[in-house]
Amino acid sequence: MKNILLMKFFSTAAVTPKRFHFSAQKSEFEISHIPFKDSGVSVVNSSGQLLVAKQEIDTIETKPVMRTLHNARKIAEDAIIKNCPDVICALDRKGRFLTINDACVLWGYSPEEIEGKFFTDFVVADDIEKTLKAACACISTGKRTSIDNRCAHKEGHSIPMLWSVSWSADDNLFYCSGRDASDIKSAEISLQESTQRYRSLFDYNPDAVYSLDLKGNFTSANAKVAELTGCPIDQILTMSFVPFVDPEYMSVAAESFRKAAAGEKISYDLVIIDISGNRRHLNISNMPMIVHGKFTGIYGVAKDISESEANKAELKKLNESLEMKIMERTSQLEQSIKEMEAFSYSVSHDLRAPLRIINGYTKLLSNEYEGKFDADGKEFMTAIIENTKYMSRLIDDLLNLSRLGREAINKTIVDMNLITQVVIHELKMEDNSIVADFKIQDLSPTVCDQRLIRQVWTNLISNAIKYSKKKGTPQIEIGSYEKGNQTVYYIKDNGAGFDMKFAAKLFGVFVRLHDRSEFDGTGVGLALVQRIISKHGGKVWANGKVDEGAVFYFSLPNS
Amino acid sequence: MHNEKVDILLIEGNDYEAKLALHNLKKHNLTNNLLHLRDGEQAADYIFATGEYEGRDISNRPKVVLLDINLPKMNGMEILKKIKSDERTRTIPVVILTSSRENRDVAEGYALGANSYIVKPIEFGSFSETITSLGLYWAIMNQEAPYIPNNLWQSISEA
Repeated sequence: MKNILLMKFFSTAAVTPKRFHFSAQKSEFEISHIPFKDSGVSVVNSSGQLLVAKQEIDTIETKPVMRTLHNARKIAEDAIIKNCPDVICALDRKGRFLTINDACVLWGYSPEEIEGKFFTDFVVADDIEKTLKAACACISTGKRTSIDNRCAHKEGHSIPMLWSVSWSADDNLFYCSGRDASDIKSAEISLQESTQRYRSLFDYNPDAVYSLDLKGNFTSANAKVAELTGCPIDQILTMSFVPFVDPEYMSVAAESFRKAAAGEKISYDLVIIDISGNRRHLNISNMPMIVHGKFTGIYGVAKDISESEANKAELKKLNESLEMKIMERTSQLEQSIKEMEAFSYSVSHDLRAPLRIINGYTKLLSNEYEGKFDADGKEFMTAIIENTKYMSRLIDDLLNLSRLGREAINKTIVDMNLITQVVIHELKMEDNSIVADFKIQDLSPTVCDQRLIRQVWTNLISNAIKYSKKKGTPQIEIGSYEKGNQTVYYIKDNGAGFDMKFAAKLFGVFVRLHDRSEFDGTGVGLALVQRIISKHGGKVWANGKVDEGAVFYFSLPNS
Repeated sequence: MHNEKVDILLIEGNDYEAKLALHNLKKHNLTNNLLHLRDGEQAADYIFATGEYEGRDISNRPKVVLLDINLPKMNGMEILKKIKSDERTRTIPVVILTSSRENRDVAEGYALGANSYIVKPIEFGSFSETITSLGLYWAIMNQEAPYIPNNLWQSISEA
């Protein structure tokens, strides 16, 4: 314990002057001040009597004190050797341990187990020869030698050791100190691994990796650089990057190099010409190479993008031809639309005129030559007149349908309650024989084209009235409900209904499920409804049963 | 030379249609001062006293022009444009009488200065009523604009 205290004193006294108590030779002492260079030591005994004073070491005559001091030093040295974490030992010329400190527990032995034995018993067999050689060299040169070897632990594993060995010809002894080098070794190994890893990243990188000095000369290059340039690596390492650059790209390359050499991290596209004269598109990333805080060159990665450049060009070509095709088709389509418009125009104008003439002359005949026709003749004329009227309605409906295709929809918030009421009112005004019983729930408002949706309600409500006319009291119910992101509106009647096997046909143009003599109509109304609703992004459908009524639904997206 | 007084100038390419119209107008004694022309060019010549009507007194103007759109040689819109862009004729009322209810025709007609746009009803009863009311309104009830000669127009606009 006291030895350790003393050592502590020696190690700290140099830095911090302090008082220190210790006991030696059964006496209590107090040492103060720094004892080394200037002999500035004072030793005071337990009763406070000054035994040794500053600069008085040589002149002091108090022998017991000197002896005590000498003893104290010896004790300290012994303690240092004993407690040193490094192995300290002396061996004779034959390599036999004469003495070794406690640090040899590192190998699992006590000093007593080692002293008297040869070093060959403790060094790993493979390392004996090199240890011997180093020891011989130490004797022959007389210089301190470093040896690194592995010592065998008592339990079998080996411990890397780093030795400092000197030979004393006077004593005919080796004095050695050795340190456990496990930590150093593992650091060395991890450094090696890290170096190898980076080396692999460099060597096996699918991209070209290289470094340039500040003048643009290659200082390293991987195999891909050789592949891209067609030059062997050793030749590349004697060259600058300049000869490989496509002259067209020289100014880009020079500017980029200048930037990179100014420490900027940059990426750019470059074309190089390999040794056989082939052009290659590269994407270059250059970054500054900084070693010990000093900018020493440029580290670069070059990706071969020749293929993707070729693909890009191909894609561009494809896009251009696609655009051409689209333009061509668009103009064809525009042409078709124009033709359609011309057609509907001529239908509207040219077909109406002869109809009017047929109707007019027939009417003239029946009005002004009434007496000259018998009952059959009059009936025939009625047939002509009725059918011209019907054809006129057909034309009007068809034109409405085709006009719808060309019209843009104009959406606003629409109060469906109001619209249905207005439509019912109008229908009743047109035909005061309507006696239907309407039940209208509160309808959700929606966003749609008001004029078109009014047409939808007109068609659906007039249909409901028409097809339930033959019931004593037609019952018509109108309502709405939410379904997902849509609002569904429906109109239900108790009229003639329909067979569900025709449900899919209901909304087709000119499709009629009833005879005209039974229910009048052109077969365009529901087609118009469907076209309007689908223009709004909604759907139409219907349920029905013959003689039990029908329900027509349409949905409109809530947005 | 055609200097008789014309109240109604009917420009209609289809003779059958014209006859139906005339039949109605006749019942109401509206055909006495009626002239029916069949093609656009002829109609323009009449109005501007050119071609076969050269020398006609241009101040002798119809009270109304009933104009069809689809006409041989020069269509109704072209004639309308001509009438309405000439100071001597632009106060003549022009009623487009057509089968077309196309929005673009209606819009174009009014844009060019038509005084009215009537879609001929297909059903004969309605057709008769329409033609008769048109004739009565424009030829009898309506007060026609006075003719202002070209030189007077110039002095008006310069003043």
